[in-house]
Amino acid sequence: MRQRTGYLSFATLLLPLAVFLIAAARGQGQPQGAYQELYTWAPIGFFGLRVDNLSFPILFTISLLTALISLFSIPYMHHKIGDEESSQRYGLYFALYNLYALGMLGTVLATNLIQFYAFFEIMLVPSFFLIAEWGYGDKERISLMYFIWTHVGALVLLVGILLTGYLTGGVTDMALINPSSIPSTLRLIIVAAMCFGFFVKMAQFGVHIWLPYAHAEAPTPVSALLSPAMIGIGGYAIVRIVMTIFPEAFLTLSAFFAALAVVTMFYGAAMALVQDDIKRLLAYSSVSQMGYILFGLAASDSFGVAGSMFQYVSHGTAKGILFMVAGAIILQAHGERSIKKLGGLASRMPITATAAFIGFLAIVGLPATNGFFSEFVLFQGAFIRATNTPTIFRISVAVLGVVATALTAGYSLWTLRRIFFGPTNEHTATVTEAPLTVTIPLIVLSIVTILLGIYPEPVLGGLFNAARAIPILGAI
Amino acid sequence: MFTLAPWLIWITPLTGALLTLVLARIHSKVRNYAAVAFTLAAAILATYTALTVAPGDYQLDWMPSFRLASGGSPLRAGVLVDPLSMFMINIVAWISFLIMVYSLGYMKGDDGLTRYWFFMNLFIGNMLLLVLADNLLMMFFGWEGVGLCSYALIGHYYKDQQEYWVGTPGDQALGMPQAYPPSHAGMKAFVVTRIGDIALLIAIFLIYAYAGTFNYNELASKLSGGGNWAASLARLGLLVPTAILFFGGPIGKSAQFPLQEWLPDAMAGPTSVSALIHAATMVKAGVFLTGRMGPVFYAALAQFGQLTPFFGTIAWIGVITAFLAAIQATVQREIKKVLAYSTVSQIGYMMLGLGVAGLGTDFLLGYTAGLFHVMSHAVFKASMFLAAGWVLHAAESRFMDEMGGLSQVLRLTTISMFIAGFSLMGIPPLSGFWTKDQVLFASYSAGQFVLYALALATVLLTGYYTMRMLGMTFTGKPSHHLQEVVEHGGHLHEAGLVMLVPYFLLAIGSVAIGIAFPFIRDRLTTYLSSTILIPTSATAVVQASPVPGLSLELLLTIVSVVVAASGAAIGYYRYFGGKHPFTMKMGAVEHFLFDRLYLNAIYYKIFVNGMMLAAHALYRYIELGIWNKLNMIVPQRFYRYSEASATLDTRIVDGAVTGIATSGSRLSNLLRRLQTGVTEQYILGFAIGIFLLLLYMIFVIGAS
Repeated sequence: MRQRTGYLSFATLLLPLAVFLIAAARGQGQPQGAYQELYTWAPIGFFGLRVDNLSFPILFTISLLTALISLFSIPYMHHKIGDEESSQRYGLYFALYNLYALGMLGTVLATNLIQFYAFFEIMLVPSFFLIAEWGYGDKERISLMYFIWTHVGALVLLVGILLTGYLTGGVTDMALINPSSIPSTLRLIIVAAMCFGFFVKMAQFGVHIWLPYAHAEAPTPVSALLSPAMIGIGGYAIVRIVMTIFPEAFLTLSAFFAALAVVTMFYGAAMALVQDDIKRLLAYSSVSQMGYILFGLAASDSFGVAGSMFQYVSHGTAKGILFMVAGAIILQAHGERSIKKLGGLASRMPITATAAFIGFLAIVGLPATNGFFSEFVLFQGAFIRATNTPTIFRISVAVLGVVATALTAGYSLWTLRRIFFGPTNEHTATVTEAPLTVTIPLIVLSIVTILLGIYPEPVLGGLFNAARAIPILGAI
Repeated sequence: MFTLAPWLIWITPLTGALLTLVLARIHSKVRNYAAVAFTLAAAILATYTALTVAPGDYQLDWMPSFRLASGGSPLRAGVLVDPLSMFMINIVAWISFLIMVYSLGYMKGDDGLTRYWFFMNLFIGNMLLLVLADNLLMMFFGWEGVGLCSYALIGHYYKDQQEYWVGTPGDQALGMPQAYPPSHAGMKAFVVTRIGDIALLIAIFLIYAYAGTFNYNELASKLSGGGNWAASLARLGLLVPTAILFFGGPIGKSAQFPLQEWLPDAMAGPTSVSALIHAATMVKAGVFLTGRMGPVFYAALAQFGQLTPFFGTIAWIGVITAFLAAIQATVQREIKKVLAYSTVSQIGYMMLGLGVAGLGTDFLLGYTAGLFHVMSHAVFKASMFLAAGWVLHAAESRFMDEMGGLSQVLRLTTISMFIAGFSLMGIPPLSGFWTKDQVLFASYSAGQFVLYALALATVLLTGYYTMRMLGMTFTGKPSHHLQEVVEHGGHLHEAGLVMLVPYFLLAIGSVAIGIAFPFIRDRLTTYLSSTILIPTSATAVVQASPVPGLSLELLLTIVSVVVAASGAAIGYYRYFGGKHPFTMKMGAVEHFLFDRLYLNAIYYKIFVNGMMLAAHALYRYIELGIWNKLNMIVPQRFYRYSEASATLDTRIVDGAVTGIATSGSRLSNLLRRLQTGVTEQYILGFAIGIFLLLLYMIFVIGAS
């Protein structure tokens, strides 16, 4: 079998995609389009799996990405592992890869806080091993760094979760928690603890340092999952858990979060501007993009939340494309990652170049890519909040958020130019187009990016409904 | 009632763009002719719609969920058929068609032709979408689409071969190089216009937050009563800032001061692209949008007596741009750069017209002056660019000092260029004369004498630089470079019909419009005044205002003609017959103008270098200096802990690892490699989590 195990992995990962589509179809007509299965899980409560307006877009993105990237893994891991090693190595890789996918999907599906935490940790384990085993550079140290940071975050989150359970008399089912029994100061502490955990996962400024290392040095297919799929789950969890259960407490802290988000947007983009390693650049770009997600959430209104969650989808497709593009370049240009040494690749790799073009346009937020709608809606959300409770602070933060997009456009186009335009050089003159297992995933994701950019209603419509269903925040 | 035709106008070129990719697989000829045919179809549809379709807003559902939670209408996509959009698309579509025909000859043999046709049709389609959209969001699709296509087309020669660069090689200003490769120029165009777009977006967000709609008609109708968005903005003191931020978009797109610096470098694209950008699409988008929302802002601002700051900004930016660009055009070396600066300058006139509309009592006079100038400029500038494209192709150089005496070989091109050039100068009875004159008249009759004086000075400069360009290119002796071209068997001959006809036709068009204009002006004005968004108050003002005496109008006309003629005369005496050869050894003032008032260099220094410097400093001192250090310290702490538990480690963990390793699992190798001070932390990490969970199980769940 060797690297062809990847086809098996691809086939098995298509299953969840199909299941979610069926579940979403079944949920039609239910409140919030919910289709859920609950199993008694004594003594904790229920072990539930829920597909609804809010989780469907996230699940769709994760399952689409994991399926496509398992195809991309085939040539990439062959390049990384080689022929000499025994086929077990491929087996181990794809086993961990599928376990990783399971962790992410389980986290999104969870209906119970304890269950959520369990999956949240499950997704950490395989990704840790994937980085430690097949990463680049000082991979053991980097994987450990990744582990410690996100695990510390997860522990703080756990404290928040357990405190909630303790104060509500043991109820941890998200739908059953009654926050009114919790004193409001404690509610603020719980929200702060949970948000801290999720901010580490989302690599917000201050707790971001693990990300550029982990994402840059992970094997590229894993980077292509870490960055677009995993870290954004922090944002989803804020909506699913924090904003749904503790809307007032979140609103109280939201002005501070908005400021943090703007700092992250600017900081990540500025860091991306000075990177020479493609993958490190993309990693910092992800930091900046996570700032966008938090920015929308901090608006705490229906536009901000819907836009943010749609930003998860558009960042997912775009960054999936871009990490695969980076992988394709590493694959075809004999492991070259330094942007300085690249150039003129547009004529050598036309499909990859076109995909990179679309991916970066989505990051910039240009119309006719899904990135436009997500950014437009979330920024609109920030302005609705700013005009609803007009303060100089809120208005300035909203304006600064839009200004940050200039930096994003700057680093995106500049990177595109340095990699793909200009004359070819000794490193790039003989490069050829990547194999079909790379270009087909790129083409599929590009098409999704553009279709959702022209007609986002199927995804964004559900998200608007989900956001309006959140009490207090959804009212504006 | 829904009518398909207005929708098809913008869908047709977009479909053409997509089909180009498919048709390219059949045959290159099929692809080329099909691309032109799609543009022609759009042009025919545009005229058909203007003649037969009743004005109205033809809508479809787009995003029913996209609406304010507190109410507001769901987002719908629509095509707005009204006099303004019909006036605009007919200019855009027909001129685009002629440019596409010209491209058939001009781009022959280019190896990126599929990409070229794709983006050309996409460009035209997006421009038509921008004009026809009935709401700001859909307009923004076209707006950014236009920006994207200009980026791709300016950077068409993305391999950056030396001959496609723009600027004089080696020229520096304040230590910053002033010559750019195409891929850089494309990026610059995109990023600079993006800055304007950010301002525009902020304005759109603010308006939507209160109005709950993007639709032009609804925005206009929501200016009174409870849902008055302008009143809500005015209450916060944000109405004027919003309007001015909105105008930021047009400033970027239409290359107005202070965001004009991208346009001269945009000359790195193929000349047909320059023609499209300058005559029909891109830069006209800003003027159009100002024209589209101008009446709405007029009505909004008039309620609060805040007209002057907004319309004054437009007028002043327009006139400053017109003047600065014209004065820079007088020292250029590249023929396309003369034309580029001339475009910037002429768009300044259009903005001036739209600006003074809100300053005087007669809104329609200035408003239509700006729009009429869009029309006449589109025609003569397209002609000039297309002709210049052939000139520099034949001369195998983009520099005017490497041309000279071309009238002997390019007879028809010379005639065409002179006609269009006279129109640009404002010589009667060509089209440029009438429309520019109306702008001048409007500023004078609005009582804006300083604006009028600056605009008049620009007329002088325009006459001068146009004659300079014509003289340097077509008269005198052929340059040394040209003689070499002839010796090496270059094609120094007249353009083929496929290229010659489009620009000659446009030059004739400029004459025809010029002759017809005095007779159709009133009808066109009445037509445009029925644009549904022209506020009734403004039209009422027109009827009530005293019509300025004809004698004053005639006097101003004579003044402007004399000024234009004197500018032309100076240009003629200095440059006709090769009297003043171009040299890079310039005086201080000339150098200042040639190096773009150092503005370009200063922008690079502050915004590009400054930004990079700041980012580098942040990276070095904050990211690596603080966060990365922290990142190193934390695991060291963990490491110390694991050293303390070394005994435990060797006995239990290591033992277990060795056990698994002998069983041959590959995973154990990994564990063994990791375990030097790593595994403990891993296990410790999970242990804390499991411990907490256990506590919870025992004390919380167990207790309940």
